[in-house]
Amino acid sequence: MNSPAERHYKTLHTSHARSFELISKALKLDEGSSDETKKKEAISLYKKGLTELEKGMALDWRLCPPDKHERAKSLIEKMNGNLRATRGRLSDLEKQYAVKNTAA
Amino acid sequence: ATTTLNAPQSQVDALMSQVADEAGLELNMDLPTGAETAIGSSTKASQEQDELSQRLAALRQN
Repeated sequence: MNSPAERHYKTLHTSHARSFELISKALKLDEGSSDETKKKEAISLYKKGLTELEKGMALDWRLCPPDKHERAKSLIEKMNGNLRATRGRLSDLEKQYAVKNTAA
Repeated sequence: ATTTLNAPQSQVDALMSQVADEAGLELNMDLPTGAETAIGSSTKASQEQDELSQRLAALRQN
């Protein structure tokens, strides 16, 4: 259970779990309100989630245990998709709120 | 619709459970236990990531 390959897989899974938690929280704020304070909280959570996703992207499914190659590969692909989606949404929000920040 | 309303919940549950058991047995015959577990785990984490991507995409369309 503690082989380097197992640890590598565990790191990937942790990165998934943390990013999922952070981005889910951000989405709840983002979807539920147009309140600026909440949007800014969401921006901060999206950024933390991105950091976790980036950690996952630095991992290699080939370094995971052979019996977990398929699920690791699939998870990395999905996390990569989510990374792009999060960056896109974050860029929208930052544009929208950057204007108000400079005006204030 | 009438049939569904009149069927007792316990009977519906029993039938659902029976169907699931039968499907489970068929899966076990086709797949080694390890492979089945791997598919199950991969799906959950991957589905969670997919769900986030879809919700983010929906927000961007607004």
